[in-house]
Amino acid sequence: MGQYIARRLMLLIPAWLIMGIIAFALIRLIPGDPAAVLLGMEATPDAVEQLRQRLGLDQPLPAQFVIWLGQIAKGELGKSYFLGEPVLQAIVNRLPVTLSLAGSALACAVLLGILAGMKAAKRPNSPEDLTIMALAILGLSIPDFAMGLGLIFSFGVALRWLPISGYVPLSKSVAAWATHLIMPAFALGIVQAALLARITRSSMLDILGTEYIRTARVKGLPERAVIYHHAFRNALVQVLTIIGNMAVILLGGAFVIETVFNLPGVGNLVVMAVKRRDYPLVQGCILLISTVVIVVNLVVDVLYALVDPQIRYG
Amino acid sequence: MLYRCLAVTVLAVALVASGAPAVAQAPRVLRVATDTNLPWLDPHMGTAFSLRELSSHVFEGLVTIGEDFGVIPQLAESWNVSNDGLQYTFKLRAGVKFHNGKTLTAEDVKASVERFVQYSARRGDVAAIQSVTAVDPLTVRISLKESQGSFIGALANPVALLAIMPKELVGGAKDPLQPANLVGTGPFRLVEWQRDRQITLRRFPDYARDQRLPASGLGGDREAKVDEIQIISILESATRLASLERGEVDYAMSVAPTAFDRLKAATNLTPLVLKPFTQIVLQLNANRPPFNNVKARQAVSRGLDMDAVMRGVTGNQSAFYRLQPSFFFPEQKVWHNGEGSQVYNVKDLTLARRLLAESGYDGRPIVFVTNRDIEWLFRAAVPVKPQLEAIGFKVDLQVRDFPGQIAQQRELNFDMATNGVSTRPEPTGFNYLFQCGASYETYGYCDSEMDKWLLVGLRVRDVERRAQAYAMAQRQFYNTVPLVKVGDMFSLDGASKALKGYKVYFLRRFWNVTK
Repeated sequence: MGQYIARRLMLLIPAWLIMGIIAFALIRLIPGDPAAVLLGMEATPDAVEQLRQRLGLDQPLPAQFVIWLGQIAKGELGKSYFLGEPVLQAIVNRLPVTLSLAGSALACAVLLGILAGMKAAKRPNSPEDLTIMALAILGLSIPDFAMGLGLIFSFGVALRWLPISGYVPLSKSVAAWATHLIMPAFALGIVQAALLARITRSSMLDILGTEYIRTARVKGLPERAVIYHHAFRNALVQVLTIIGNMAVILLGGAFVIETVFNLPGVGNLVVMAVKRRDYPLVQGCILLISTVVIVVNLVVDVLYALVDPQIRYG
Repeated sequence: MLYRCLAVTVLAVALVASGAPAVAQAPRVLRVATDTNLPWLDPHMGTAFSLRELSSHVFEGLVTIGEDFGVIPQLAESWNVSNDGLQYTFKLRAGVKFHNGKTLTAEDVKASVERFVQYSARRGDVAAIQSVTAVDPLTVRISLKESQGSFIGALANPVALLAIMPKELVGGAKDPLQPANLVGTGPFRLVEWQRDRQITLRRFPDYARDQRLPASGLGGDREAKVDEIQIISILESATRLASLERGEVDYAMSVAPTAFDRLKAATNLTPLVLKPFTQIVLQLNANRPPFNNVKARQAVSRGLDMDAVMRGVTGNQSAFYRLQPSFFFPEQKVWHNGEGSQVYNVKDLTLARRLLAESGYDGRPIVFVTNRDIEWLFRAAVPVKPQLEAIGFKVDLQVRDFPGQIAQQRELNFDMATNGVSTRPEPTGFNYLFQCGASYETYGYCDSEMDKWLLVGLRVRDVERRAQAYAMAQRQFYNTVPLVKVGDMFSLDGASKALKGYKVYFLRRFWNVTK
């Protein structure tokens, strides 16, 4: 297992190189000059040219790429044009927000999704099942920004129960950290919960129809043990795959919710970097997100082996 | 297993303890929600609207602008101009303190002006400066290469403010100064900048109030009446509004005009119409057909129904727009004029079609570029397209993001673009649009008559004669149509009624405001 993990981690190096080339090329394919964006529409051409030189944008593209690779080899990702700080620092500064949001949204999705899915699977086509599945479809259909704004105006403005925007670090106040995260975590997690409920239900139904479940029931095991010990554990392989995908989406793609709730996270950073044509920051974020994808997939694969003894890596 | 999964998740969340610095709560904190983030806060180095607002709280110039946009003194006690107009001698106010405790001297003025001339975003406006001399600790002399009537206005202009900063910090600084070095003489000092999140200003206890004049424009008797201002970046307009309604902020900049009635109905809030704000224009590319022909340009100018366009921009809210021909806003009493009113917004389709036919337009679709990052620029383009088609143009509307639009304009791969031109307190601020050799000449417009009047406006010192020259330039603008003025647009801000003493101006001002 150790060797397998090491091998998978080694794969990060070519993946980084390929992602690096793609990130470098992709952001430059979109029309737009970072210097012109920084100085605005009214800047004189000579001021733009001066800034281009300062940012190193006057160099030929291959030279810029080599300079960037050199920085990466030294463990740096360059300096953000707009933020004026090292890319790595900009990302690290925002990680607590993103991890808090993604973690709490994931917790919300897993709790609600799995419990609802299992409940629905217990009695398929019962009124309970139909209600849960209808709610799941509703959850999947409401766009996250609409859900976010709906929550803000009901629980923030009308009822005044929860704060509307911003992030309070956990180290400053656990209570404030949690209250600021409830609405965004719910708005972000509910779509994933709906998806997870549907997947859990269908996996459970497949497994509950198998012979070994029938055997378990025939030998007199309590229903609770049948469901949780035998059926759910087997359904979990598929559910884990979905949770892995979710983690990736929540870590990198929470831009809309971050904007609506004014949370300075990584998703927001990526989108603003693209809008500002902040090349080093876009490249750095793409590398980071691709690393997250690879690591999360690895974690999921390792978890497969823990959940299902039939799966072995070597 | 479920519990193990949950435990891992909870553990991951618990591990995310972060260490962002806590902001100390001062007794009277004014919280302002802004829609803009800045790449740097150095007042010399950027022309962004929100930088002008920030700079006027933290920094001061030798002179500034008053309520009617005329020039008033600020750090200068007085000044005189030599008969040939080549030497400006400023006496400084004594005992003015910088935020770092140092007392202002002529050496600081010299270093600040010299740095501004060399590296600032508006260095073109002060290119006439030949030398700056510190005559004595409280006297500074600026010598010009040639007489320039706009000079005092250029010093007062808050668009890239010529802020006076300590010599040790500003002298020769080529790059934007870091926040720790942004030291001014204004009523508030900059204490913290969390990029993309928050700017914190604190009352400067040793601020040297200028009690010669009552508060006016960006100068006069200013006083910090709150202990702290937190400028919080909230990019989503609906969230800014919700934060104001909830009381999380005291002031929300740029909320949607559709929130006007809602703010009016709220017992604890006031809607504030930011007037003047900006004018919407259609930039034309005169390098290639059809707009290299003045008749095609006139066809657009004479044929469009500006009222219909502005209704589209503001969602039919008449409180948020105004139709008037001048490039100056009526609030700019010193400069505003009515030239062009006979041809502005005449919506004469017959005339427009005739002009277009005479221009020899070949029916090739014109490339009309706009963007959705600045929503009102997009909303302006939507009603313009069918109107252009009614005149006889074929239109290829291309919607980009903001950097994409700038790039397309710089590559001259367009015929028409929607643009905004914000308030120019000093008329030379328009030169970049119309003057031969200025940055927008790349768009192909250069007219000797226009240049003649712009030059008079630049050279002559008498304000009335300058205003006349700009009126003549405006007449020529309607004759030659370098671009098409659509209308003036206003912006909606919202404030808590707890805020006392706030007065609407073209920039937001939080001095002399209590809570």
